[in-house]
Amino acid sequence: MAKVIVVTSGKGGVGKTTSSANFSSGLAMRGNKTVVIDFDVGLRNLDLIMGCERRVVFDIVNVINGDAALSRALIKDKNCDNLYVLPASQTRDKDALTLEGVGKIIDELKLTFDCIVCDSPAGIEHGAFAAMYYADEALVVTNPEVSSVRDSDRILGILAAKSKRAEDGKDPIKEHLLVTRYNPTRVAAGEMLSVDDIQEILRVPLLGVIPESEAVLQSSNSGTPAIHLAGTDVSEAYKDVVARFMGEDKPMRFVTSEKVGLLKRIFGGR
Amino acid sequence: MAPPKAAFKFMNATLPMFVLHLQTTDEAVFRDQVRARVGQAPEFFQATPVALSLAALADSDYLPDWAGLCSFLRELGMCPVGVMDASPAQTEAALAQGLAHFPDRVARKPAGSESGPAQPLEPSSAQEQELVAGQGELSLGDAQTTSRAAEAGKPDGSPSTLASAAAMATSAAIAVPPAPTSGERRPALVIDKTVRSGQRIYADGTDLIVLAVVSAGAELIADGDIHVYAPLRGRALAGARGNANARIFSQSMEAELVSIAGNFKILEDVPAALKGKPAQVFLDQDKIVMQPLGALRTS
Repeated sequence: MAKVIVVTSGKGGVGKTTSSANFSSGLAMRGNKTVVIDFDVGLRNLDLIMGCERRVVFDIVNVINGDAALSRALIKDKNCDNLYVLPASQTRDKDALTLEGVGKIIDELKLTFDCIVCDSPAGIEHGAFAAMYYADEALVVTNPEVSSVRDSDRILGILAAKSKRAEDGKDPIKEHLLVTRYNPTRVAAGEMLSVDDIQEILRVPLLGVIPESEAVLQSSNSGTPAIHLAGTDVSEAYKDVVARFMGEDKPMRFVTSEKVGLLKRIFGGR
Repeated sequence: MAPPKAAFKFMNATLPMFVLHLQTTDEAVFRDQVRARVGQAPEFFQATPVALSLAALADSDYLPDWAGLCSFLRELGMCPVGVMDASPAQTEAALAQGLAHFPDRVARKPAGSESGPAQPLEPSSAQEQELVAGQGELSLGDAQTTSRAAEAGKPDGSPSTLASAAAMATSAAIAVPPAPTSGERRPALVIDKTVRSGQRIYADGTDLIVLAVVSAGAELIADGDIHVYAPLRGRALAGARGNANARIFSQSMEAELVSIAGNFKILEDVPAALKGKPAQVFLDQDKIVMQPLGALRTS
């Protein structure tokens, strides 16, 4: 049975799109037939991070409006055989994302794919609502910073109350916490919230911690998700996240500054 | 010379009120039926504040004769005070006649998540309780709530165009329980899930018990007491309908704001002696008192 996973956060700039790109790549690398959908109609970033911006011809709004068949809008990822990207439109209005139209697309994708990753836009407006409405599971991306945690809390409330699962009275969306841009040294110095602080506030099972890293920026600019940059801590962290999502038991890494030092020695640093 | 005594104070109150729903544009029919209904219990409507709801007619371009309508209602003893759920044109005309405007209760059109369709409420075993989860704007299962109150409010239970649905005179607009005919006590509203930022829960006419964290930015409102057997980080308003004996209890007091019967205290910083500790909040002669739990035992 295909899984619909929304990557959401409420706040912008916390790493939703980066996480969507890496998470969906990781799922595909493990043999899951995966599609990642960009719901940020009007801004359209996912295709840049996936490095397929020049191959975008049709987008999700074209599919909803019936201008193009879904199969023509899907773009095959350049790094993974099992991964496809459904890009957002840059020119259309967000209101083009009707719940009905999105539902049709997701139902059609469920026939061929194992995992459908929905990259939500920031905010709690229509686009974010459309991205999470059909979700079975949610990755709530949070930075170790109070406003991001507050927004995640808000999103968790909306996930629990407004999704299709909630409306149909089914089991609630399974929630996962993904802490990104984590810097253990700054946490130790009291400049950032710790993972424990965040969990104390949100009380959602922790799926993983992604360390703050320059590799993320480089990979975004080069259009290759960081998970493909073997040996970097970000790549390892995202692989752990995917492994845990698939049900493996992996100890948390990159959480304390000593541990990073240890791992750096093991992996030979950067 | 003693400082002058405060000449006034503003307090927030949530008062019960009748809402008269207009369901026809035919004023003659309307007047006949209202007159007949009020005639059955003329005492009941004496000096009663009434809000006029145009929910059923807001989509039409019907413009009621507000002045005529008001004097008609006053004739029957009622005091029309405001209008709600009306179209902008209807509202404007009502304002011109000195009526107040109650902010909309009915989520009009699902445009985006904020004003999305009211969340369907499970008819709980405790019928009067309402759990409002989701958005800041209180979008209740409105039809359900008001119709239930309407049934309860009718003396004879017959169908009627004058739905004597009761509602609260606030933007919160939560159905008021039927007139206190019996001394029966409502069971407390028990919430066992985290109350997230932006969510609001109202225990109508009863106590509220929360067994999970109440996040910063969440709001608990109860007509009775509020108990939180977990950290309370949001706002808690007990005795929302003026019960000055209501109290707030929390296993870990970290609230942003506490209020009892309209007297509120903003807690920019919870006193260090109480922060994160079991504490209670009560009212002592209009003053909010916060006290650690267990303090009584030692004294």
